[in-house]
Amino acid sequence: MVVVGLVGNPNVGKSVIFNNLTGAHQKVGNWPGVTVEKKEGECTHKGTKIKIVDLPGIYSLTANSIDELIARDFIIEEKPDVVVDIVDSTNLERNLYLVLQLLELGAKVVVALNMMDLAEYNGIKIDINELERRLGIRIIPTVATKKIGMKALCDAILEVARHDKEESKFAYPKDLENAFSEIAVTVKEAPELRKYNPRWLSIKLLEEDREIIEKIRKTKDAERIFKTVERVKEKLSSRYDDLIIAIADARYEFISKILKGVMVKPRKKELTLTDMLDEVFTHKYLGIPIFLVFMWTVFQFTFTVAAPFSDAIDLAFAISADFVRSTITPAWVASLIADGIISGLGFVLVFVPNIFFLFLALAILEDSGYMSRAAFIMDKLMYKLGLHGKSFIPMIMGFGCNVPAIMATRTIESEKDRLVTILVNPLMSCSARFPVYVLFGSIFFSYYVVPVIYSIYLLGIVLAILMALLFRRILATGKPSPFVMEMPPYLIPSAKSLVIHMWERGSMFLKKAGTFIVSGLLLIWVLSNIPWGADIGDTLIGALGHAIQPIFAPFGWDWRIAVALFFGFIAKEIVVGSLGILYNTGEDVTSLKAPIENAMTPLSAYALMAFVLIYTPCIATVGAIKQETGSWKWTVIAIAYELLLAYVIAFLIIAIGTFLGFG
Amino acid sequence: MKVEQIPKVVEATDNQKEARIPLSFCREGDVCTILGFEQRVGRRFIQKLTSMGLVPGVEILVVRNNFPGPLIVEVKSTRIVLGHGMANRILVSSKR
Amino acid sequence: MYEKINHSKYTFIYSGVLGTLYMVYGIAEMFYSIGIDLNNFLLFPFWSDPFAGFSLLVVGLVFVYPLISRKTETPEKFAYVYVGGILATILLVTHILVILANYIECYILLSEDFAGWTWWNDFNPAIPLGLLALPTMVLFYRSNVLQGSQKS
Repeated sequence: MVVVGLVGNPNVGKSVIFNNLTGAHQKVGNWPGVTVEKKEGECTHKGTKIKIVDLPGIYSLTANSIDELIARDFIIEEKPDVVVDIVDSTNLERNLYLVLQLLELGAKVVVALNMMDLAEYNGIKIDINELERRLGIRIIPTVATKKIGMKALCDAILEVARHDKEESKFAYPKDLENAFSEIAVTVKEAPELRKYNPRWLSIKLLEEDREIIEKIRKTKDAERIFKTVERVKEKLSSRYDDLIIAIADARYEFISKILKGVMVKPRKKELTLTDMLDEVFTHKYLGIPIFLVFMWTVFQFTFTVAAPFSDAIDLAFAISADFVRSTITPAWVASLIADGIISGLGFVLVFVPNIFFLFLALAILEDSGYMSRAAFIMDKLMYKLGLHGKSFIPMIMGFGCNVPAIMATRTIESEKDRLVTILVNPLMSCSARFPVYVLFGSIFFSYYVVPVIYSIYLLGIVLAILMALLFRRILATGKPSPFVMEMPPYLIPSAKSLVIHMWERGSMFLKKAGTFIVSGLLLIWVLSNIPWGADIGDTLIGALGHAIQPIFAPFGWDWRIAVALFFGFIAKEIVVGSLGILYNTGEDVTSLKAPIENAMTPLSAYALMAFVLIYTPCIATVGAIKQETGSWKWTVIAIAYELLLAYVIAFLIIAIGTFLGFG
Repeated sequence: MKVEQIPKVVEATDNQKEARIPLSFCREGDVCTILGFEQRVGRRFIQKLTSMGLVPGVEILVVRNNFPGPLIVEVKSTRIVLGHGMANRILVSSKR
Repeated sequence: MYEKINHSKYTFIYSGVLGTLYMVYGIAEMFYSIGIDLNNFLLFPFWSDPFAGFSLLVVGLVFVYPLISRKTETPEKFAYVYVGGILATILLVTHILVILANYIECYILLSEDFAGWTWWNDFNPAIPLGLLALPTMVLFYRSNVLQGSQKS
C-alpha cells in the first residue's frame, strides 16, 4: 500500500482532487489531540492500494499555526511515500514556496498543477517539461473540476513511490548553505533528533522555529547546538539584517530563477470579473449598504419564500396526526404516536425549509468568494468593537446555527481573539430560536411581529458586542491581532458544491432533530402522561414545572414555560414543541394561541423571547464550544454567564417595562 | 496592471529618489515595492506575509485603500486583505 | 488601470436615469413604510418593509455613481453599471419568488392567512425597474469581463 499526503494552499481545489481520487471511500475524523478535521480516503490504481490523507490547506511549514504543525508532523512521523502538492497554476510563484519547503523537509513530492483551464483562459503558458527538469520532480497538469489528469497523477504517485528520492535542485546562497552545514554537524550527533533531516533542522533553527527550538531544548546536546546557532547567526549578521526574511527571499529568488522562460504571462489588459465586482463591493461607502441589501435578500429568501414549504409540511403532519388518532387504538398508543412523535417531529421539521434555504444562501455567499469581501468591509467596524475582522464570518453563520459558526472560528489565528468570538457567538440568534419568536411574536404583537423579532436579533448583536468588549478587558487581550487574509477570485459556484455544502450543514440539523429533539419531546410526552389521563398539572412533568417555576415568578411565566425552558437546554427547537404537548393542543401551532394568550402579558412574552435568545446554548453548541476551546473551564463559563445574563436582561425588561406602564 | 517579479532591490541608494513610507499611505492604483517590515511585526506575521508572497523587493499593486481601514493589495496574482495596523508596519517605496 | 471597454457613452446616461428612478422609488417606499400614506403613488404599490425601499435606494446609488464619481477611468466606471444590473436582477428575482411563494400559499395550500390575496398585493417597484435594468445585464454578458472567470 502506498501512503500519500495531500497538501496545498487554500483555495487551490485540493478537496476536489481528494474527492475525485477517493470518491465514496472516505473517512472523516479528527487529528489526535486537536480539533482539526482529518480526512482519509482510499483508491486503487493498477492493482496497488493508495491511502490518501488530506492535510490542511497551508501556505508554508512554519510552527505558527496548528494546521502547519499537523502537516509537518504527518510528513515527519508518518513518513508518507509521496506528498502531492496541489498548485494553482495561475499563481505559480506563490504556490512553489510550499513546494520548496516540502523538498527541504525531505519529502518525495509530486506536483499537481491544477486549474490549467483557468491558466489557459488567462493566456498563461507553462513549459511543464522544463519545469520538471529544473525542479527535479514530477509535475502533472490537472483540471480537477473536470477530472482531467487524475489517472496521470496516480501514475506519477506510484512511480515516485517506487523510486528513491532524487537530489534536490534547490540550493540557497553559499554563505547560508555553509551556515546550514555547520549547524547540521552538531545536530547530527544528537540521538533524539535522528528522525529529522539535519539540514532541515538547521534551517528551522535559523528561522527561530518555536517547535524545533523546544524539541532541541529537551535534548542533552541542547547547549552545544544553541551555541553553534548563535555563533553562526553572529557571522551572518554582517551580511543579513534579518535571517528570517533572508531565507524567505532566497526561496523566492530561486523560484523566479526557475520560472524564467518557463512561464509566460500576458500583461493583464482587461477588467476581470473579480476586479469589477471588487471595485463596487469593496467601495468605501457603498460596500456596507450593498452588504445590507444582500442580507435582506437572504432574509426574504429564507423566510417568505420558504414559507409555503413549511406550511405544506405542517399540513401534512396535521393530517397524519389526525389519521392516527382516529384509527389506532388503544388511546394511549394513538396519543404517543400522534401527540408525541408526529406532532413533536412535525414542530421541528416545519422549519426544515427555512433552515435549508438559509444554508443554501450562506453557501452561495461563501462559495462565490463574497464572504471574504464582507469580512474586509466589516473589518474596520469590527476593530472598533474590539473584534477581529475574521470574527465576522462566524458571527454571520451564527444566525443559521451556532455549531458550524463556532467551528468556523478556526481561521482566527490569535487564540484569545478566537476564544472571545466563540464565547460570544451563541448570542447570535440561531435558527432554532426563531420558532419561539414567531410563536410569541405573532400571538402578542400581530401587526408588529417583524420589528419585534428584528429587535430581538438586534438585542443579541448588541449584547454580543458588549460581552466581547467585556471579555477582552478581562482577558487583557489588547487590540485585536493583525488582519491578513487572502481573497480568492470570485467564482460562479457550481450547483453541485452548493448542494453539498447546504446538505452538510442542513443534515446536521436533521440529525439533531432525529435524535435529541425527538427523544426530548418523547421524554416530555412520557413525563406528561404519567399518570395517564390525569390533568396535566398533576403529572410528573407538572411536578417538575412547579418545582422550577418560582425562579421565574417575577417574569410572570407559568410552570409550563418553566418546563419548556428547562428542556430547551437539549435543543432550543424543543421549546415550541414541548409547549404544544404541555397545553395539549396537538398538532398545529395556531391552536396554541388561546392558551398562551391567557397565560401571560405581552411584556412577559417579550422578556421570554429575550430569555430564550440569551440563556444557555443548546447541547450541540455546548459540545462545539468544548471541542473548539478544548477546555471545560470555558465551556462552563459560557453556560454560566449566559444563564446569568439571560436572567438579568429578562428582569430588566420586566422592570423597565412595568415602570413605563406596559405591565 | 500586471505585477512582475523584479530582481531584489538592493538597499536604497542616494541617487534613487524613493519615499520610504508605510503601505497604508499609498493611493489606490499605486505600484509599490516592499522595502521591509517594522520591528513590531513579529516573527509569526513576517513568516505569514512572506509565505503569501510579500517579501522585500516584490512589487505590489494597491487595489483598495479605505484609510483608516483595511487595504486590498495584489501580489503575485493574489489578492490579499491587510488590516490597517499591519499595513502601517510594512514599509514600501512608491513610484509617484 | 485597465484596457478600454467598447460601449457607448450613452450607457451612463441610461444608468443615471435608471438610478434616479430607483432612488426616487426607494425613498418613497421608505417613507411609506414608516406610515406616510403614499399608497399607489407613482403607479406601484409599496411594501411596509423599510428595507425593501432601502435596497432600491442602494441600487439607485450604484447606478448613479459613475456620473458623480471623480474617477476618470471609464472601464472602472462600467463596473458600477454591471454590478447595478446584477443587484437589480437579484432584487427582481427575489420579488418574483416572493409572489410565487405567496401564490402557492393562497391557491394551492388554501391558507386562511391569504384569503383574498392577489399577486398585485406583493407587487413592488423593484419588478418593473428590474426589467428596465435588464439591458445592462446584456451589456455585461457581451463585454469581455466574463472571459477570465471560472466555475468552482
